[in-house]
Amino acid sequence: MIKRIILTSTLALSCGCLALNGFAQGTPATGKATDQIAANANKFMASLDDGQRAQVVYDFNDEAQRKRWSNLPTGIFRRAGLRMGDLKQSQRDAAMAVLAAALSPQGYEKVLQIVEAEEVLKKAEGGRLIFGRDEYYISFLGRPSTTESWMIQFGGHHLGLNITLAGEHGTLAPSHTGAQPAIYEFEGKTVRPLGRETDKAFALVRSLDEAQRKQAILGFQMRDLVLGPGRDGQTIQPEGIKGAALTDQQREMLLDLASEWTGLMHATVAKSKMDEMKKNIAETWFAWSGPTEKGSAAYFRIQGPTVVIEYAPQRLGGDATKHIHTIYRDPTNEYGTKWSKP
Amino acid sequence: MVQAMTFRHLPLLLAWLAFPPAVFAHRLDEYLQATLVVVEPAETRLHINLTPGVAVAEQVLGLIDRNRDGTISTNESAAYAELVKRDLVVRLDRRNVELKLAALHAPDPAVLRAGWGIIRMEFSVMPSVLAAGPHTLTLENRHLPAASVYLFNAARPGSASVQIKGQTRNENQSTGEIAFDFHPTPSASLTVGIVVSIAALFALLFASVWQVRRKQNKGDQKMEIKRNGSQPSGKGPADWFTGTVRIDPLFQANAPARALGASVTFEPGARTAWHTHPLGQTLIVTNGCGRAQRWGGPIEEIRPGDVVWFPPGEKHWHGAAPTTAMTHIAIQEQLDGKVVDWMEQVSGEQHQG
Repeated sequence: MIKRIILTSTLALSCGCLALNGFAQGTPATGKATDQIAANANKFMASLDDGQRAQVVYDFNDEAQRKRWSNLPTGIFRRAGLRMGDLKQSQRDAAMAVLAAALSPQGYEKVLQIVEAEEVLKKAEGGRLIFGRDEYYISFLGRPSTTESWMIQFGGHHLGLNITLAGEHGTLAPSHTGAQPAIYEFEGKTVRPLGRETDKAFALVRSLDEAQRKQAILGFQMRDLVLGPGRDGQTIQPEGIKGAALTDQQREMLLDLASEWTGLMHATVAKSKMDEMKKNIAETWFAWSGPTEKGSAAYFRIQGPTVVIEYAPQRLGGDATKHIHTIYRDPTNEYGTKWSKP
Repeated sequence: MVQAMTFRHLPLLLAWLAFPPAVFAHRLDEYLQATLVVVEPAETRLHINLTPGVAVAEQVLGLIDRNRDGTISTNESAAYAELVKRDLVVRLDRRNVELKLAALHAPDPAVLRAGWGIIRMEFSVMPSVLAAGPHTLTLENRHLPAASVYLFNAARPGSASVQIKGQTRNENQSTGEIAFDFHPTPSASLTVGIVVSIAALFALLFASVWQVRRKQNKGDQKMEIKRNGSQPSGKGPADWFTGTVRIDPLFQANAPARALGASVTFEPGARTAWHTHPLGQTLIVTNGCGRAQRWGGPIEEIRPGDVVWFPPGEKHWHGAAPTTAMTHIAIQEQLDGKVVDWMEQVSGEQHQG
């Protein structure tokens, strides 16, 4: 099983690199990345039989399917589309190649690590609940296109990717990542799917001086995401410390932390999102709840005019650092509404 | 009807609070209660999303599906919303305000049981129209504290005339406060004006329709009997009582009626603190021998069959005689959600006379 994971990872990663090579040759032409994603999606579609093809494509305006994503395992929350466990290996690889083209290499790696954590969880749970890499679903809303709006939905336990593409544009909002266990051994290596965001966040909060901490640290428990799965359309008043009150270096750290989410998408989309965040940095807030010692369980939120990121440790078996939920939203452009009203 | 369910339900609720689910470490074992406060020029609304984790879903469902038929009827979800509403204390500018259910959605029981169902409730804060200037809104959520996790947030205002100035919460977010400014722009005032006029028109229309409906069927309420032993006793809190006091709830009328009644038993020497009632209080002595006194008046001995009346705002106390227990039925009415204002304790000297 583990061998198969590696094989798939390597395969899919190399696809990701191939896709990336396209960008390496200067600024991609309009819709270049989308061309590659759509091509991979069509290849995946071609690998399916008629029955499967009918199952994988939904109408772009299918509200029910659009909202069918969650942090919960499939045994609890039923998803739709094609289940990875029901696909042949070649189809499965083709499906992963779609993600590899849409995501950045580090984004794709994160997705694989979240999925691999499920294999660890599966062993630990002794098969009591349904976990594992077979339990992820892929679907398209709208047909793969290089010009029209369409969406790739990929998710299962602790993963809800909603990738909307519209010609040259693309967004990952809203999407959910999570990890349980958030640290595990794999092939003799210690893996932390959300390790970078965790470390960067602690570095940022620890860089704050006394007066800044007073603003940034919320004086109450945050036991869950406020705008997590199922909270589409809700907005909250920002809290914490404003980017305007941070030093240049701290602003860089804040943007670098946010890039763990914005940078999940392929380079072109990631860059335009990061440019937008840089422009809005003075109006972007950072809030923290919990201890600031590295290795402890703490909640944080980044909120700007076009972004909401939350990171919330979940209490499980007493150690919340081992179970994390995160959310990434763009209140101005959820599911790409900016480009086409769904 | 709604009230009846609430009351019949109390023992179960109390039992649950006393013995929370054993496994407590996982979100799945908790009841997530997330409140979003949406302040708009024409209306302030609480959006409450209630998500029972898979391990507590059955218990929450037990509170909703009262006839255990496996479905949630409109009446049942409305009764549950009423139960939740009673556990919410909302103050606008430090004064208790009423909530009105504005929207309600309960998912299918199967979805709730699976642990991902969200019960959505929206309550309008009454009165809905705000005066220009600074305001504070406080919410205290007392619903199922032993099993719950709370979130409290102000929504980002959709209107430029509302500005959130600050938010505070207690440690677990069961209580939160929002400070905000309302500065109606001319167009916003006009909008509010129009909304108010339209609301008034609708209110008139609704009132007349309601009158007609009332003549056909006197509301949804039916006769109800709260059976002996169905309402658990409570203890008089030490803040407001001296000595051992047992309170047996009797009734709490459905709106628009507003009387509340309880049977109160004072052990020898036990008594209330000094207090007033906004709409007065009637005592009917049913057992033993006790004492009562109004501020500035003599101590009166009261016995079974005596009926005592304290007018609105009159400061007074009542309780047992020093060596004899006393039981009375106390009846009072609520004004703006308030039935009593507590003051200082009655000293031993004052009680002895």
